[in-house]
Amino acid sequence: MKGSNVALTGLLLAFTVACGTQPASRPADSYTGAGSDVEHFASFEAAVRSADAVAFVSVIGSAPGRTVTVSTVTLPFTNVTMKVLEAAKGVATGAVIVVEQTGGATPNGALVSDTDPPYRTGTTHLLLLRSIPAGFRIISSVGRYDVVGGAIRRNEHADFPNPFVGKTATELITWARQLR
Amino acid sequence: MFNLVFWAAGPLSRTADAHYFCQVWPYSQQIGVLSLKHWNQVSASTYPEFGDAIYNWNTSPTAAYFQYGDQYNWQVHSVNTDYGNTGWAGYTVVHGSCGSATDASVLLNDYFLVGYSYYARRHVEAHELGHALTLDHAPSGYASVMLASDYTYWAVAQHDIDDMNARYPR
Repeated sequence: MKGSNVALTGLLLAFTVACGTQPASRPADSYTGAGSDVEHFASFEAAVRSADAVAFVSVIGSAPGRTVTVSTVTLPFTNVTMKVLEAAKGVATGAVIVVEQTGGATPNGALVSDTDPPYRTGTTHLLLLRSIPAGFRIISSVGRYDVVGGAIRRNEHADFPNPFVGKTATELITWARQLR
Repeated sequence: MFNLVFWAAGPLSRTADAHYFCQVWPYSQQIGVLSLKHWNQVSASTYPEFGDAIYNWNTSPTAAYFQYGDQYNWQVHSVNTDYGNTGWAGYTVVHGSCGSATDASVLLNDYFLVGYSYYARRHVEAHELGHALTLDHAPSGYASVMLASDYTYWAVAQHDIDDMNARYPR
């Protein structure tokens, strides 16, 4: 390999490492996970219509959930407890629900899902949920919208625009209720 | 997200918004190839297209190359089982501190995959192998096997080749 190519490669890799996609707070010994969604939606409205529950929630806490071990590979899950602040369908306002999340604590650190990073107590989110035996899960990588400062944030994994980005969860919930 | 400015051939013909995991495989200047050993526990009779997905990456004009190792000598470990109604058909975990991948696990979820068509499974498997190479999801609008919510592309596409070559120059 020519010297110029080596220098360029080193520069590029250094730049890549320096500009990594993950938060600086992630553990030194950590795991990044990402997957292939099962459910696909052509629009935000289609996703909302498909969801079993649509709710504006506040995170109460989380606890380690089930683990699945195959060979030497153990996949952890986390059960996140949330209070429903407002609901469009599928759950009642004021209810406490459990959302199962892929990822969580591992013996050596933490597995962080790229499309569904860990929830922190007190944060608020607009979730499109699918019912499962353990409670709920988000419908896919497009099922989670963080709500910060009262405004809905963009979900960068969504293949379609969310017309409510920047608006309040109440506005979205009000609209979603009318879809039924 | 990390933005690497380079040109990618995609249906929108725009500057790529390349997404990667923070972990990256060590690059060997001597061989110029990213060589991942692969211990395949996925039954060929269950998922025969898994080998096709590996061949697809191995013959792409990138540094990607998966070769079979053994139970003591591997970097990418693929397994399949019923992980339940998780919402994902495949899931890949890359282990290591940012800047240094040490190993990866490709998890195939029988709960969904058993009922999939050949091409849907090909998408999932090629997609997960892309994650094992530390590629993250491609932005919507691109022709890419790395789209999270679109199974249209079941083979490595030009966008994926460009992303790989930007991260692992040959």
